[in-house]
Amino acid sequence: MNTVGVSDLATNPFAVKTPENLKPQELVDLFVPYPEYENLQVSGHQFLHGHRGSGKSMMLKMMTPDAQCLTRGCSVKELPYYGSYLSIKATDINAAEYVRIENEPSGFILSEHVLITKLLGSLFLSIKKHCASLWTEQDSHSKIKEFAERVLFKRLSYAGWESSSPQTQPSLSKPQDVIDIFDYIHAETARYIKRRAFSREYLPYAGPLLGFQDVLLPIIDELRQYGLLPDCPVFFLLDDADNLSLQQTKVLNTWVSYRSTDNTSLKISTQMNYKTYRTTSGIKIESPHDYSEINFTSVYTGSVKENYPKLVEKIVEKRLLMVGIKGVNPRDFFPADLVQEEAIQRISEELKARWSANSTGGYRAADDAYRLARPEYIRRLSGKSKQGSRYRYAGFDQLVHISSGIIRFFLEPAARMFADQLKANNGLPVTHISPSIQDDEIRQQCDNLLIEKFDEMKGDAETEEDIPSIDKLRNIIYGLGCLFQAHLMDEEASQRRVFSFIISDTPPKNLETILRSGVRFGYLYEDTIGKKSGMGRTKLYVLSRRLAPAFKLDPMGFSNYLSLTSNFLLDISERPNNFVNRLKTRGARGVLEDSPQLSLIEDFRNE
Amino acid sequence: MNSFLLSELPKKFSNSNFLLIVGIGFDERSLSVLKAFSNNSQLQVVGLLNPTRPEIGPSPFIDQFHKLSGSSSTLLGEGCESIVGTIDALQSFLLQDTLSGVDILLDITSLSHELLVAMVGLLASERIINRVTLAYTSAEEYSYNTTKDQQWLSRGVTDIRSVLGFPGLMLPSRKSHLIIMAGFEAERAAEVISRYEPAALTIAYGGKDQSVSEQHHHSNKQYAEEIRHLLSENSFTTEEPATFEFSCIDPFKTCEYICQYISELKGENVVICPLNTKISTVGAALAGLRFPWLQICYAQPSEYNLHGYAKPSDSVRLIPFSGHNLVIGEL
Amino acid sequence: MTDIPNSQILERIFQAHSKDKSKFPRMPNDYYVQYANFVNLLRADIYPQVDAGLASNSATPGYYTAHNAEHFDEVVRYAGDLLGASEANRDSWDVLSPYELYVLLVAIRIHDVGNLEGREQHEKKCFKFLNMYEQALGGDRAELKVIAKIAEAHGGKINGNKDTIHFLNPQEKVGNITIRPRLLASILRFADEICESRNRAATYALKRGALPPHSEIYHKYAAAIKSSHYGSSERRLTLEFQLEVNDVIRKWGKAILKTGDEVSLEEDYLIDEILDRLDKMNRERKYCNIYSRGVYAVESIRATIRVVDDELDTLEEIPVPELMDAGYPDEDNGKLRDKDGLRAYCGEALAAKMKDRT
Repeated sequence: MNTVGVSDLATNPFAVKTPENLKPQELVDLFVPYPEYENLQVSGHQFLHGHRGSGKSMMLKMMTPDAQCLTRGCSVKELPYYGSYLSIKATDINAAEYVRIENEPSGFILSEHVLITKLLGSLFLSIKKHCASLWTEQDSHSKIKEFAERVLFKRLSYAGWESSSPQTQPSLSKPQDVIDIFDYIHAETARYIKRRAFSREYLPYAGPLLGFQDVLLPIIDELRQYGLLPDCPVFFLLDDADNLSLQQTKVLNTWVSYRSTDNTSLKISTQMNYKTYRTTSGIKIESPHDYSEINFTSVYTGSVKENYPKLVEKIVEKRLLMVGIKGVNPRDFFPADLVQEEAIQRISEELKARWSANSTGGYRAADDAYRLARPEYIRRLSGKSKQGSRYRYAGFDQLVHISSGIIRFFLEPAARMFADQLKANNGLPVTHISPSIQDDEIRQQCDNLLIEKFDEMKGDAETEEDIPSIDKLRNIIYGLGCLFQAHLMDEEASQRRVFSFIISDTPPKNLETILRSGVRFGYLYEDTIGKKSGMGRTKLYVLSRRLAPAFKLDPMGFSNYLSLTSNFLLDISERPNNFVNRLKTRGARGVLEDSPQLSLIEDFRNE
Repeated sequence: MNSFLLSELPKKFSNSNFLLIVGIGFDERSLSVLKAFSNNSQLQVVGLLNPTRPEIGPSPFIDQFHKLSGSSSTLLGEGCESIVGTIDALQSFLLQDTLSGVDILLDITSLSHELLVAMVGLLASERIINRVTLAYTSAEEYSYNTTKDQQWLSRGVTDIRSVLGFPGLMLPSRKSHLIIMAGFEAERAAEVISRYEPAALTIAYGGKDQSVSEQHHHSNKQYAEEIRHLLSENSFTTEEPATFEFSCIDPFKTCEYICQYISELKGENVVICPLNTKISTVGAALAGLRFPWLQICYAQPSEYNLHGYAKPSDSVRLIPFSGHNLVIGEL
Repeated sequence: MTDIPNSQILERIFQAHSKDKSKFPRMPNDYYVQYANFVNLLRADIYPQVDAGLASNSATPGYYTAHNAEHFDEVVRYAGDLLGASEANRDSWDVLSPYELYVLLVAIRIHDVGNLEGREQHEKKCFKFLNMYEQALGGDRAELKVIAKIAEAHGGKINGNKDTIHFLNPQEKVGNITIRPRLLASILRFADEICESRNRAATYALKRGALPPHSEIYHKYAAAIKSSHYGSSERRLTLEFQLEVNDVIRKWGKAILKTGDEVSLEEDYLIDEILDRLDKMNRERKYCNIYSRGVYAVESIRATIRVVDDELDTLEEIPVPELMDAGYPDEDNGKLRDKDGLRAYCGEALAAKMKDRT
């Protein structure tokens, strides 16, 4: 199984390779920047939040020296910043043993030491890989030796490193020698951590303790002075900081709270699961004072709203070009179902005509007719027999919306579609993806997302404790899907495209836990929306449009949201059958009216 | 290690003074071994609960455990939310003077893989592992509440973490190598792989002669293939995964196979994720003892098939550690 | 050995308050015994050697003012004065918690020990030296690091930044005990700043002109201090300088200047040095007040400088103004609207930006 190597990228333009496995040229060739990318490249601490696949790792990798040199056509010496990339893997530096240390009096000191060792190790690895061009063969040895003796050993000794270790060899003259020192220090710490596994009693730690201010920053400064790093700010590109332990997270926040020196900035990516924004002293770091934020999942706000479709278009064009498919419009490559679109257009005309006849003035008939035509089309299809009357989730625009702002959710199904089309073409070149293949793949993706098909629901439980939280989540998703579907099917409803909700009261902890797991599993996305009162913002939960096929929903464009109470949601989670029965009997509006504290549908402020 | 009828257990242990530790979970096999000793009123019994998980709820067998084990039994791990608490409770118990030199029969059937590995680490650390015999009750049928084509045991992954006692040595300068000991849950394995995004990948499966049955071997191999297929479907890209075979029924052989394989990987950060039988997981733990630079990780499932996980059979495997030269390496 | 020779009031207060073990992170440890042992070890091993090390190991060898055991005792004394500690309130004193007192005292005792290896970056060596006494101090390196960071903030720069105290946390939890690192560092720093006194001057060598020329003015300065006293009720530091005519009429050596191959002696008048030092002291006052306000604040420095004759009659009294924060703040620092980073958000710029958005 040679799934997608270089050769696969050459044949399947939508193949997704994890950024770490991309060569620099591939990275540069594939990369299409979000507007926020420019902001990332200035000094200052920043957080990038986005689900897996949203493109944040790609952005960080693009900031590494080799990619930057290729993009800018310059040497390492001329770079405006030096990006040292570090991916925090799931079990890298947050071993279970850390729980013991985190409970100890000065555990955060050791946590800081672990992080610094990791950062410095990766920095020197990066120097080894990228900075050789900064020095000649001749003077590299002497520079490194001098740096080691005058700076590194001195700083490490201040930090408690015993200089009698075997690492202090006179032959220290290569970056690898320095890397070996940090490996050694890290190993020493790892040994201590391991000893703590089954030892509840305090065991003294006898190794060095490296810190941000006393070791990391001075070393970076001196690396520049010695010409071992280019004379520019260093950006530490920390990917997936959710994988840090709680205490390590607090240490990182403490570094952020120092505010950026002009010399070192932290660019931190998270998968929406960052543990805390508090520092080791309990103070919260805040945007914009301490850092700025880029949020990839704000599908309805900011540049992502306007630019995401354009971004996908550019990515598709670039990728098609890479496999020699030139001059093809992405909309032509992913065509919609023409018959379907024509039918929708006819409905749109029909609605326009009807409203014009009953015009009350000041009504944007054309826009609304267009928006409501598709849901109406879906509704009319539901009356027909299922055979051959299925709504087609096809067409570039639909695929973009279904991907819910996460580029991977566009590319991955596109890659499968391409492979299927190639097979269907019996090896003939692919010039477009047929709507049926698109639709099949989108539906398959929906099925994969759902753990089990939603035609079996858990029965109504006697007590809340009877239902595990996964089932409650499933019930909520199913219930919401049915509710949104009911809105779509309601001809009389003024707003038929509903995909999201807010909670009008303060949700209890159990509901928050359920919804959080919904976000984690990709069923829901979180966003914020301005309150109607004008005071503050509230959390908006958006159903993943990848679930649209499951509930026959219209995934296109931006939709309305419901305002629901916690009890309403909890009731669905515990008594889903009851809810669906009420929905069938009373309809969407009826069910909502039954709950007196509910507001009705609200429009987005942005629309 | 051999397979016996549960009913033969009292006879096998009739002359020994031993402590019975019973792992209690949601699995119906939780109390099979204890039931076999129900006529032994002198038996000292400890029940060990897996750390609590809100999506699973408390074990439904606690009351029955108390009834079967008598008033002098001990239940450990109640209310513990993390493995550290459970292990600490067990450690305190085992270090009592009254248990010095006492043999231990440990029923691992219903322990989570994570707790199982941590326990092996603890027993080795306290130097009492040579006095331990593991018991594992076989299943007559898995996922008995579904049709054959809809079988499932667990789904999804909430969290991935290293197991207490087996943090490995993850050096900043090295690339990662993930070894999946494939079981029967391809999706879970694929999720672990996609979250790790390792530089190198090995998908191992049970050898033909070292599986519970030939059918299990074929299923296992098929699931290993399905993992590869899922990876390609989801466009997770890497070089072609390597592979090797291990034993699903003999932990010592598993240990040897793993050690032989990973001894070639010293320049890498090696992480192993055991997703096969509990017995093979013990093998992974033994390999982790020998090569402490190996990290053992645990992928916590989002949910289990609580209502039909496994039907107990009437046979049990016994695996004594005594007589085996367990090597415990230094990091 | 749990007696501390020449113990200061803060140390006696600490001894009294250290009996309640619940106030410390590691309850089995006896923190007073740890501290006393540590001080005695420093007296035996380190303090006698600091001056020699400073003189010979510094980049510019010289005869520095005393950094012996007495200096460290003095810093503890002045810290007590700043915190209003006295025998009268020994039992009721609670400005710092017992553990904070421990941390402060250890930090004071170690803060200048790095001078043993030379003046340069001496403050950065506190952790290294604390580790040497790890066992005496309870064996927790991470705890020593917390203390070392406080000690290290007493001078120098951290990565080019003089605001060294800022890099500490306002609060830190060590186990269940909360300490205030910034406060403690500010106490240490200012106590160190004001504990210059005649005792630190090499009087004998001064009188006989036996000091290296570039070290003279520092000893002259120390010798000129007749008294230095902090009154906690007035929140005022009062200094009296007494200068002889011979001190005033000539310049004294201050530093060696190297310009290319040329080496020369920088000199200055003693009165100018005193005024410069008062300026510096005032800057330190303002700086440390940032981090200590709320607990205590040094509101002013009142210095009297007298030139006396051989019979110690005053010939001239120099009118040094009281150094304090007074008067209406002017706009010397510029307007907020003109600051970098804000210009784009003021007035027309913001209006234009928002108009584009709508």
